[in-house]
Amino acid sequence: MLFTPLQNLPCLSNEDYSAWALYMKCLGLQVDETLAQQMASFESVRNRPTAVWTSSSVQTNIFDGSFLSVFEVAFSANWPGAVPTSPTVGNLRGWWMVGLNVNLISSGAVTINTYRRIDLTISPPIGAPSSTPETVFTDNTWESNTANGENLLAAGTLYTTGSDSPSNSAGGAIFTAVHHNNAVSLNTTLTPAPTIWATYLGDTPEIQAVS
Amino acid sequence: MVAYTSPDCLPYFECDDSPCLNTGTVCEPSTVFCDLTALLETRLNSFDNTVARTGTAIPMFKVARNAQQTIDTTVANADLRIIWDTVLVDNENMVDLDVDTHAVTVERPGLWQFELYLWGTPPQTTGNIFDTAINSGQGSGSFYVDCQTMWRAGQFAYSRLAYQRELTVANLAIIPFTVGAIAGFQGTTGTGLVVVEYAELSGWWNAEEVP
Repeated sequence: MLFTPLQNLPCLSNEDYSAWALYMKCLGLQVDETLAQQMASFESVRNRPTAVWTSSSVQTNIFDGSFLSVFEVAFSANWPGAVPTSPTVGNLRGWWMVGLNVNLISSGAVTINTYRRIDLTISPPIGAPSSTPETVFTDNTWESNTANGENLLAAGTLYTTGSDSPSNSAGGAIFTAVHHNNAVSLNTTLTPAPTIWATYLGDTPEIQAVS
Repeated sequence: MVAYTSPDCLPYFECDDSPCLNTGTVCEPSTVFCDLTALLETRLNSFDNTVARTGTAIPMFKVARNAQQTIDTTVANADLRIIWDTVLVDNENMVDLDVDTHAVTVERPGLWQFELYLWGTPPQTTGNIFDTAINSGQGSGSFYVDCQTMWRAGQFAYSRLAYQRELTVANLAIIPFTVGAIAGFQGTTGTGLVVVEYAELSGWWNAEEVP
């Protein structure tokens, strides 16, 4: 019996023709098994680790410097380990896309031309070198009208130095802070509720040329 | 008489095919079986290579401007381009700051996503608009996508842009695709100075080009 170099597929040689039926069975089973493994790999590639968190309760009395803290898991796929309700970036080494969307409206009167700002902060994953800085994405806009509310979006890509272990979900924690200088009243989140998302883009070894 | 599957042209025996190349007393084995397994091997390996590449690392880059950059728009034909000073990731030799500090060159065909996150100030006159764009990096024009953010005293102007593009083999054969960013302003001239406090440009491959 002869075998191909990588997939180890059998093909008949001179002395094997008496075993056609057995050969066909072995070849079929092996191709089937290989295709099943490849399909599993493909599904893993297609469904990049992703989680989305949202808040089902309206948060009120948001003063300058408040943290948005009430989140629950809205969606997850292929996440490394259980998805925590306190948003995190999974501890996979590589690149992530993270984002925060918040709709804010003044609880009462608006101080004209005051700013509304959100900070999305991702702390370094557990085990990262102490010199690893936090990553902060910010959006800022101005409330120049009367209580129409403002939509803010902070998002970007970041690198994490976590392990390769998919069982370790102790990644970098995500914090959300709201800032404003609305002197007349506080702020309230609007529906749709604030949303945080994180998607793993991939690891970063050098790419090999593939035709 | 050997038949072939379509479209992959895999050979197989039909009912009246002899496993031998001749009809003599000694069977000289046909190569059909080994031709089949060799072709299966090629296709399975190709699939494994693709999954391995996209599963462990998709082509991506991220460059940053960490040092403050001042752009004097009062100079005739002012160069508005961001001068990148840091390479955060580049796993396919897309960035060479020794040769070009303005543009990243993408050579792999496919569907690409680009993200720009940038903050700074236009000439500091309330109501001035901070202009930013993802462009070719080859000059101050050739916008791919742009964004305007109003500036008011006390806050920086934050800008975030996202852009997707299909790069085809045919396009790239004619001219390399380059990407960079610019910052400028609209409104009252004031000092004419645009200050970029921080900028980062990311790009990553999402999928093969659409057939």
